[in-house]
Amino acid sequence: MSNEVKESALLRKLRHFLDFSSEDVAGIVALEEQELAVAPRTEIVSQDSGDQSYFVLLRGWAACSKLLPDGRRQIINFAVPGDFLGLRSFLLPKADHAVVTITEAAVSQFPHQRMLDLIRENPRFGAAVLWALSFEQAIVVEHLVNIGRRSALERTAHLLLELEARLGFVDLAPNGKFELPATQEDLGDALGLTTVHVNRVLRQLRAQGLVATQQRRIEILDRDGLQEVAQFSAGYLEHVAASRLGQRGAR
Amino acid sequence: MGGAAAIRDGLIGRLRTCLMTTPSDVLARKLRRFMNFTGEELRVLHRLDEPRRKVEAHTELTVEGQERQDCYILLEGWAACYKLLPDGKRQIINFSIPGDFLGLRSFLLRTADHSVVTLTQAWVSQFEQQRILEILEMLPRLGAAILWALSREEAIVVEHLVNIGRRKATGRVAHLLLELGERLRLVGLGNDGGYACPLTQEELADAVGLTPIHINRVLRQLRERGLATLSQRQLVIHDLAGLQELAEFNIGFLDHNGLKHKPE
Repeated sequence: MSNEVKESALLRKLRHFLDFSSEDVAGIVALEEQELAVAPRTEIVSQDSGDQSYFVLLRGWAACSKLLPDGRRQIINFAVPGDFLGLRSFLLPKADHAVVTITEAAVSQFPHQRMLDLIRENPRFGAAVLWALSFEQAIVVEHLVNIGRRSALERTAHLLLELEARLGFVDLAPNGKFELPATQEDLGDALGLTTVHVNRVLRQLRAQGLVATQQRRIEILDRDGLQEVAQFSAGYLEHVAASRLGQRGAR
Repeated sequence: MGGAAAIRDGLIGRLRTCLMTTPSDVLARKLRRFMNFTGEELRVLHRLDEPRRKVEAHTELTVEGQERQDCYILLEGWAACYKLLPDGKRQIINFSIPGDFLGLRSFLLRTADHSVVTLTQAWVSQFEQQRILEILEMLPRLGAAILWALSREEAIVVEHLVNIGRRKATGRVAHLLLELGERLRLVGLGNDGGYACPLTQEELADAVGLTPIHINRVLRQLRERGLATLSQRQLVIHDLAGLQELAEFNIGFLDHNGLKHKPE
């Protein structure tokens, strides 16, 4: 993967939603000014921490999860480049989840007040943040459906299609190929399955000629077939574009 | 066993609720947990409650995939937000109780990503999504309170994900019943002794990823262990601490203190 990225993942993602003026772009670029390198498996946001800071994930993967008192973990969502981290608990007094990097990652941090100032100064930025939040929430709802009502094979197929679509937003899944650095244990904690079960399901998807896996790379070989298995419909990933909220914000 | 006492407490609670809560009050009552409002903010808030209309039980207010979505405030009664799978299976994302917004969750989505159906006879008020955007622009404080209600709802959905993904059947059901109790209490519709609960075993099953038969078994266990009884549309909690322990229930995710955790 090339490190030479002309435009940040956050901008690429938000552009699906809003057309930004050069001023808006400057504001967002400023958010990402200070880049922080983070080692794999580092906790960036602690569950129940009242010290509210947010991050943009510039490169790498992270997992947002909730920990139970007995040590079990439910991964709520994977974060990919361009995603906000910790923003979910924006209006809550404490972070209701933990964020841990999966790979080496680069993030930039911005404090709570900074975020509020930006929203106040630029309502269009506020709209974009709301959009990003609602996008993330639609994904969480789909995860609920996934573990509540889909079989192991269906839910795994569904997660792979979703990740491909999300990575596609930030140009990280050309031709149905993408990096999947999450381990089988991570996948299990996201899907409510055991590691052994995840392994079996991935083998099944390969055997049916739907996907190919190599090291940490996934390639979708038969999109229609995979979508049929997953009962996947991308509706929940399609948000209102600039035409609607952009005009409202520009009034 | 404090069964009789609990039933009595439940009845008293219900009576008190009838006396205390007027339907138009529920949203303001909830949002007041987040902050205190000015007179103007309260007026705008109350205007969202009008005009109100009655909706029969099992009426679809929003259908998944529908393009134009209005927002509703549920003033009285219960509703469910759910998603249907092509094969007919249903996952209930959340139950809605008085004071909840309906359809606001996906207002930035091109189409509704879920359906909303009333579970009981209900009273709702209906307004265009545009109204919310206007409030965000003109009354940012009130806007923030509405956003708070939305983030709180999202925290609840996340908790449901943890529930289904990681808790055993009895813990799941107990957790859901406790969550509903706390939410109802916030709008004056429940107390430590329990609350009026119109949910069927099938609806509970669709919310926690179990079968109705399994729910039946779990409810029996809760009753036999002296923790709670759900019958005749009333949940009676016999042993709140025991139920909380079983569910590993931590009220934090409901953030009932809002901004008021800071001294004013």
